[in-house]
Amino acid sequence: MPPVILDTPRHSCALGGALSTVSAITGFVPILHAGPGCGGQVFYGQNFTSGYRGSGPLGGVSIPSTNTYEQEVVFGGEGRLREQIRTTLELVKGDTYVVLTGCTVGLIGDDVRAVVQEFKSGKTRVVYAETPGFKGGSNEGYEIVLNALIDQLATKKPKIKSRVNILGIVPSQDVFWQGNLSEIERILTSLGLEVNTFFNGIPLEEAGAAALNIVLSPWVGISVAENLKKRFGTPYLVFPLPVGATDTTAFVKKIGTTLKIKTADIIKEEERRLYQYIDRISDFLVDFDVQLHFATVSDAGDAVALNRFLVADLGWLPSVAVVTDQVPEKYRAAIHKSLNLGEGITPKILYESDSWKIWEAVEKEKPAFILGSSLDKDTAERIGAWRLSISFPVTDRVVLDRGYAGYRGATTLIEDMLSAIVAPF
Amino acid sequence: MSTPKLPKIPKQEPGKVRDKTVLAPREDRLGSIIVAGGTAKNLVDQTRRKCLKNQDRSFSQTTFCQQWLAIFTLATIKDTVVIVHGPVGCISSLPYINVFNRLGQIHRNGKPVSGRWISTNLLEADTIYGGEEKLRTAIQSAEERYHPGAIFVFTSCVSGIVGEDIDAVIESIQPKIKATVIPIHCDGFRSKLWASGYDGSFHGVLNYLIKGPVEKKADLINVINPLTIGRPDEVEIERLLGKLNLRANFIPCFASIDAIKESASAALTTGLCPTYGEYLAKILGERYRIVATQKVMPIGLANTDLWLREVARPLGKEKEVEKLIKEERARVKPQIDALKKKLAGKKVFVSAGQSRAVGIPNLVADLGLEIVGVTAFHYDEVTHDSFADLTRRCGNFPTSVANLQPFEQTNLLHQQKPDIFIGHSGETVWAAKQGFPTVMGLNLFHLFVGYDGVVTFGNRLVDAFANPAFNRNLSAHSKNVYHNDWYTADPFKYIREAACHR
Repeated sequence: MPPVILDTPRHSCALGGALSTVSAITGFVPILHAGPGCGGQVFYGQNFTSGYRGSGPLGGVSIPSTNTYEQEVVFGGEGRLREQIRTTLELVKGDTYVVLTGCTVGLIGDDVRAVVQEFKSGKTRVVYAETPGFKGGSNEGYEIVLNALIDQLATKKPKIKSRVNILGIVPSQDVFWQGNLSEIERILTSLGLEVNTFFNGIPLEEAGAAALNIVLSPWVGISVAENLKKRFGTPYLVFPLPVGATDTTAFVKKIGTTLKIKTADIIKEEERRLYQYIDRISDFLVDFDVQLHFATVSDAGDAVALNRFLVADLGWLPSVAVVTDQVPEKYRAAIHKSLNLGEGITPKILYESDSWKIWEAVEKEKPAFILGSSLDKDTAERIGAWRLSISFPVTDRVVLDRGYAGYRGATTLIEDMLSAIVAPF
Repeated sequence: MSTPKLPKIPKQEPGKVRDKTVLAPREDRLGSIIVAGGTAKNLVDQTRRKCLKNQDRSFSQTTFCQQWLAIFTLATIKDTVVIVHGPVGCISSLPYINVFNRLGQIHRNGKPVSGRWISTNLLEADTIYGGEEKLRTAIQSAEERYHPGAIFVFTSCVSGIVGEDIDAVIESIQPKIKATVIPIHCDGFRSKLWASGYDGSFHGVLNYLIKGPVEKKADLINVINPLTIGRPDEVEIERLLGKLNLRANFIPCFASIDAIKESASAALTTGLCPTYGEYLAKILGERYRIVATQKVMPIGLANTDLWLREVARPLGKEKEVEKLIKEERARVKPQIDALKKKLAGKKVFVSAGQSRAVGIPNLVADLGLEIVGVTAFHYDEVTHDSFADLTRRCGNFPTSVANLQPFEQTNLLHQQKPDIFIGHSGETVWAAKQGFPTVMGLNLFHLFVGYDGVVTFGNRLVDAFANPAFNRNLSAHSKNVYHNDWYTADPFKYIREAACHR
């Protein structure tokens, strides 16, 4: 059952997720067929509130948009869309133009497909995705738009044995998406693989050329992987974002066995480097007795990633893992399995998107450290917990290329968490 | 300059007034437009001859809707909850608005507390079966969780199109709710003017929160403060009004519900932005016999003079205000003269909301800069006189009316080649990427208003000229996103006749 109401939600709408996804693909130009304020609202409400991610080359208030007003709502917006596509092609550089629809268009029933079809013969590509906000949250928007793009753009290509696609990291909804993806790409590249993250310049139409699809979330992106499997026969594996030595090494081994790559040397070197830094902070951890009970408030992907890292690598103790995105029932068993951390250690798992209920639950557990969003500031203060903003929205930190994934992300995460503790000194 | 007349007294007894109709949007109420391109003189002439009509753009970029600005209007009022009856996306920028909320509280020496906001999370099924039950749940939850004094229910495109009757829901639930529940009609698609959202919000506040009859307070002045006016500006206004023995009641931003209710007892209403406060000041005047004066923002020397005189005269403080103006002008003159030496002759392009698009050019003209272009986000009778005054003072210059639309701005700047660009949040970054030195025309950390505002802003301009390295570097690493021929094309090429007024 989807939540009835959302107090202080932790995601934007389907359009928000779709727009931040399209804006992250090089050469892709979004064209909103939506209300006048949708682009502005989701720019500030999805990007800017994600560690102050700015407009980029053609984002923010420069996103082409039909701005559907009463005229279009009453008489239909197909004419206006046709005009806007024509003028956008004339004015804005790009190689692929993606029409994204908003709620008004979803309700008035414009035949967007037919209008887009009229531009098929031209030399530039115009595609579309139906992303009205009422279809769900940002993660759903990511899946809708990627599936639509793959359906309309990807063609059968010969398989490249060393090529993998990465799925499940949603730009801006994952505040650290860029840093996380580049660390995963760095690790996989060191194994001799070529990585298509869809945001690193490798053409999206080559989605079918990969030998393997890797989904870095317990659920987001699986529908895309299924789609690619059906269309191109590409196998996929689901491995929630690895953070730290234990999980990243398990991840590398898994990739190694799946693609028959030797990984031992890489693992040895990466772990050596990571522990050189962990050694440096071990005095502080031991002297100040920093073994804490912690809570996570995040999407399912980060819930798995952070709990596993903090328990397996740092030896901390989980109190509650609040999963804030609306995870379909069928994926929950796998999440529970991932969060069964051995030796009887497992957090209480709460699927809850309503912030008031989240704050109530966290307050009851009284963790010493909260890994959540900037929305949890007041709660942390009430219970005297340390806190770090790691999940959307983040308005108390600026995020550029920082990431917490993999081996290198672990040092960054330790720095940031412990810095929160030493900040008053 | 004429003394403001006391407004017409309505027949209704104050306190029982409740206008239940949904307010007409500004294009219908004030003839406002969002599309024009040409020169300042053209715009003034066409307005005077009453032949200014709205047009459309055949290419447009996303902008803000009236619902967003409606939320901005009320989101910082203490002890209230914002409910948005719509899909979750329509509330998603509240964490951004919360940044302003927390910053504003810090500037007011308070410990910042985050605002409260709840989405009814309308999903596809709700667009078919209706979402009124969700709205009830949201209102009840707001009450039980936060025990607020007031709950604002904002509409959305979806609630409007599917025909949710929020007034009926509120009427039926109000007896069970202690907080005053206030409907704010602001469906995003219903107005091309985001400024209509201010009116929708004030319409709700006027009808549900402000009641009479009240005891009059002769020294109390309502000062309507948009969220884009920072605390330093308020402090300066308090100082100036204090010299006239007047107290400022700043509403609605960061105000308490009591302060908003107290507005009915004020001697006069003025505002820091006529565009923002137009409807609130007018209706407070009609219902509670409060003089409403807000011709200009108190930005720049002449407009600050005018703003103060407009406040002082109806209250019989002509002598005091003339003395104050003389003293203040004399006090800042040496500093302004010094700034002029550094800034005179620099070419400036200003883009801003309608009222600031008059205020900032006047301010920079005080410092000797030359206006080479102005963009106003919309245009109508609210600023017509003051804009006409600006053209008398600064001559003719290219002018556009655009609800942001950075593509036009990029072209205009490329062709006008100003020495500096002064703009609004969201649009100024594009000028920076073109390499122009930039200064924000609204900045919550800096003083803009009054005599000292001219000095502070002048110093800010001097800083921007002193080291333009950031924008220069940014520009060197930015690509042109528009095809090359656009930069030399007619900037208003994509303006076409409107299909209909709305």
